[in-house]
Amino acid sequence: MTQRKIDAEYILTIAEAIQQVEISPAAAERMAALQKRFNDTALAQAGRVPFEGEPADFPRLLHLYRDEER
Amino acid sequence: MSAATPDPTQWTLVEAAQAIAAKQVSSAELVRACLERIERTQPLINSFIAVEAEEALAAARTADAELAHGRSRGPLHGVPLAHKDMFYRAGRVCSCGSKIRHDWRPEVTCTLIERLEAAGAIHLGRLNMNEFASGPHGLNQTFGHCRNPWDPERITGGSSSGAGAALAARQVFGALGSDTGGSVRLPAAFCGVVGLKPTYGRVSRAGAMQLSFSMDHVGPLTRTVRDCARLLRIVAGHDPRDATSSHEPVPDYEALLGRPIRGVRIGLPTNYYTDGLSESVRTALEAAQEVFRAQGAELREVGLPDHDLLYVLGALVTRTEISTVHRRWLITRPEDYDPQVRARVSIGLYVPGTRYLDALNLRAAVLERMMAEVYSQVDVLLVPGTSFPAPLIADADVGANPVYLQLLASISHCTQPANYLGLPALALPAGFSPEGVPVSLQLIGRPFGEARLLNLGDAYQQATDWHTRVPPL
Repeated sequence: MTQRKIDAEYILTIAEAIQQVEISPAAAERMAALQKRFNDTALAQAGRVPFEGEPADFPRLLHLYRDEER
Repeated sequence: MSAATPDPTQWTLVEAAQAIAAKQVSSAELVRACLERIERTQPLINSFIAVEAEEALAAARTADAELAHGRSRGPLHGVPLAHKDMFYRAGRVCSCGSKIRHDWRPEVTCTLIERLEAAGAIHLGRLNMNEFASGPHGLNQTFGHCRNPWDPERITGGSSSGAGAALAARQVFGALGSDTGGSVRLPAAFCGVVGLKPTYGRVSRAGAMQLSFSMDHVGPLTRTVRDCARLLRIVAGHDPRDATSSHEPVPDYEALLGRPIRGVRIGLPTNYYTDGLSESVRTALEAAQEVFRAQGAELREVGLPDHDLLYVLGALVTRTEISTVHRRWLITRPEDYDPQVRARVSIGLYVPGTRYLDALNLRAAVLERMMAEVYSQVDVLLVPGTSFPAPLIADADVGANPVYLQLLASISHCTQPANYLGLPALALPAGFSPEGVPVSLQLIGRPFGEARLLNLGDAYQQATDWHTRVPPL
């Protein structure tokens, strides 16, 4: 009985958690718009840093936008 | 310097180091004072998983002998520290706060432990934490819950729970924690100490337990910003053992403190960080604004793009990577997890790979937009450390059910964005709630802007005394 209760709680928790990280259609649209904006601006101006629209762009951007006041 | 204080455990890290260097106190005396304080307060707060008293005293005697012969190892010579139990030391037990690794001995030593020891630090023991650093509340079913020194009925925040509690309780002078969604800043905020999550890549993670490789950061917890500056300089910098660590030069953060903050542009977000603020946090933030304004900083309101979306994107990345790291044990040893942790580390198994990669790819796009629309107008953001003071343990110790996930999200609401964006963020004490527990502010800067954050934080601490308050243990 206890085991069954734990399993039920566990499944409910996972189900709830999946909803937390689920992307709604509206959010998916915003994600696509963000990616397009990035492609149209940062990627188009990639004179200083070779952006490729991939995860490796992230550390490159951190260095590009670093705080110069040190 | 207040090194004349009768009880040396009340000194700051910098004061302790200066007192040892000036031979006003020996490292062995300082270690003994810390051990006595730990012995008295550990039953109340359970901040340590293991105290390594004999080894610490032996190391302290060696440090004293070296100093007697005119040799100082560096800026931490003889100063006792302790760290979250997830920084590896070859051949020594490193539990990662878990039953699964309770007697595990790694084969390598963490780069940061090597750097701290080379600077002269003494290792006092292993600090409590959430199991596998998975959770923001600081509870641990295997080693016992860590308790808030300001009110032992309340959580410390996590996952670097022991670090926050030990610093507040004056058991140690500094500690390392890890921060994947706020795990350095949350215990700092709830326990009333300083916690810094550096820029992604600023501090090596080699030899530190992995949780989410894209979101993990390692940073110091201390009592003062000056102490934090000293520790950061020692641990920061490129490490050939961590391919994600940056070659960016490391400034002398401590030497850069004390610069005027006149003209620094401080952004006050009009959205996201304003959600669900308790009255005590709101009041503390407003008072902090006045402290900065009085010193000549320029405060201006600013809207933040994408932050509601950003929280979900960060969660997608973190949870998928956690599940990847834990997949093997989820199959072979599921019963050895705390049910809360097991649920949390399982979620990523249900995230499609395409969604995970979307979330990872968008990190650059979101960062670029933040820089273009926000950090073009301001130098730093001033936000709460947490939206509310430390909740009661009874409200957090709720097993594995959906309530836990809502609590988790609300605790890390103010800290998680800086992990996804990779930006440096400094949490520091900013007052107390009517219940007498700390509230905190947070400064979030541009990439590699730790020096500016520390200078602002130090300016704040020069004008306030929240960081000098000691819990009534």
